Amino acid sequence: MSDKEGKVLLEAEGLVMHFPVSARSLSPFAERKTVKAVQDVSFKVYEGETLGLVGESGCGKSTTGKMIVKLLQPTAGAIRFEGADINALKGKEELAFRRQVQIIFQDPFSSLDPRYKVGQTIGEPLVVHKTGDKKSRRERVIEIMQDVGLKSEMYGRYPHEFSGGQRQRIGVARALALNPRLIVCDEPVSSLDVSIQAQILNLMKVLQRKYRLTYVFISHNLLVVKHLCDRIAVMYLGHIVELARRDDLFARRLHPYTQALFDAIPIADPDVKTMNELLQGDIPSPIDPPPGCVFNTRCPYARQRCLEQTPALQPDTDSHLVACHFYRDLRPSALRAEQSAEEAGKAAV
Amino acid sequence: METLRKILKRKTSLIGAIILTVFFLTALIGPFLCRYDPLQTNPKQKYAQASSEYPLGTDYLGRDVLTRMVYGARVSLSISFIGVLSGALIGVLLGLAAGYYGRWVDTLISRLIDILLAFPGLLLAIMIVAILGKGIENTIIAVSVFSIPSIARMIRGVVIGLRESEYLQACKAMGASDARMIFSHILPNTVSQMIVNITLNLGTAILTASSLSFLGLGVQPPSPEWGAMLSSARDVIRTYPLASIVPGITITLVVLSFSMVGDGLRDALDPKLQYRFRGNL
Repeated sequence: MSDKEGKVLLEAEGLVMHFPVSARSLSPFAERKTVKAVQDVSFKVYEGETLGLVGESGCGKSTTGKMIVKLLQPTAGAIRFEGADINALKGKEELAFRRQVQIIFQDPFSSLDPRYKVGQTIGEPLVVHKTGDKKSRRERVIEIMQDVGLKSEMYGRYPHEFSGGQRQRIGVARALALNPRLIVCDEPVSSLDVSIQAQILNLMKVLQRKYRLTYVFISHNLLVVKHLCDRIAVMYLGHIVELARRDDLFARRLHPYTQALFDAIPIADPDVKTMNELLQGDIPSPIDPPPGCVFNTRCPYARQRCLEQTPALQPDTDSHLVACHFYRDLRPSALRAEQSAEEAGKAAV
Repeated sequence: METLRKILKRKTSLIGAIILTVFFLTALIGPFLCRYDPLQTNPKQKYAQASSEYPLGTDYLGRDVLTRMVYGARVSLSISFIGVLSGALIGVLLGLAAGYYGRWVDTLISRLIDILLAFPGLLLAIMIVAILGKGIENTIIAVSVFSIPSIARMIRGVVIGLRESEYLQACKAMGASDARMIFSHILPNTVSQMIVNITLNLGTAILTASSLSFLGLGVQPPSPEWGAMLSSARDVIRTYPLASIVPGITITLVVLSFSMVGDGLRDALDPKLQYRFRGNL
């Protein structure tokens, strides 16, 4: 990609994550089944940008996020943070990595220890990394609390005294405490009311500018992603099917899954009739993903080749990657031509 | 305070709490108020009826039953507390290790617990005493082994639930050590269940200790112990029932009280109820 995007902060290469299915059989000949949560995912995160990971539930976006912060060890593939493989880091180097990469979780209720006061929760990373003394830690915590819009007198309160939005601010503050460079946001606003969502998203934008943060933003909500992300990776059943700059993606969707996903965005106008049909069927089980292109069971354009060969993520333009054999034939222009031909045929009849 | 009020609102728990308070006070200060020596025999006064001199009569050696009951409270209390608390300590550590580390650690510990649970409680206690010999120390050991499995299993379950919680994930992501996660986050969040389990175990422990002594395997005569008193009064139960009724009813009441208070505690500290309450905020 072009050099104006800057320095690569984090690079994922060929990430694979398989979870063994827990139902164990006593027979040694029983097939060991695995959930193929993530299959061959590669991407780069540039310093200062926000990369969005979008997709349905179960597409592997959260698993990818957890691998980035080293909460899960990938089955195969590597994640490099500033060139160093994070899964090879040990001891002090690992601590140094963890200091620079933090995570914000979806559920503001389960992500805070109910027995920890707000100040303790936010200050915990400082304690873990033995930063400063008690007094300086307290000052730092109060400073961050103000940054995220919490009053300093909330320092001694318990999480159950707060609303969902405020709790999420506490989660954001905890992630910020160590001045990290990269924050993985795992659906940080999905469990909040819409009005609160906007507040938190704007807060995250402000914080990004102030601290020059890099975000990997995981969400199933395209509008949220549009609001915040510079580049967007669309995931389906463990694969990235399309990766592009935001404006590029919103203007020109190449992969049929991306098209379907965007068509599913509701429009707040009852008079607008969407021309497109919604996807049929369910997402296949990640235990037995279909051979070939993983989307072939639901793709309206699937052909023989899609059943046999897995498409690679290839560049359409420099910054727009797509994993589809026939995306060129699906371009709106091509489709329109097809449609008009069809209509012409009908008219002739 | 809130918890205490919730517990005392239940009638059964309130009654249990009153009986237990009397029991604790008796064990702590009762012996200072007694007129007689619990071990001093007085052959002239054996099987005395209840009178102002001997409010609950005397036993087969002429010792005052009330005095022996009061001293016996102290014995029962110390056996159950020392036994259950040391068992809880081991059980909690085992449960934490099994729940937190999983894999073979969990398999190993869980199977050990299964083995302990496979024996009926009293049989296990008898077995331990048979191996180690009679006496108060070995009774305490038996009680402690006896209370390990229930608390270990309970803690293991709680830890497995907590391990996947997002606050522990966040903690791990910030680089916290295992020790920090276990002792600063997991352990404090198991305290309420631990208290309930220990309370319920205390009652069972008193019953086990008394049963052992009743069988002649626990606390040895002439030490005053409720089970042993019951056992020695058994032969004259028809002619002189008071000597067996008093320790029998006391054991029943104290064990029952522990379980009533334990139930009250469980209802007051139930994490699910708390969660629902939190969710409504």
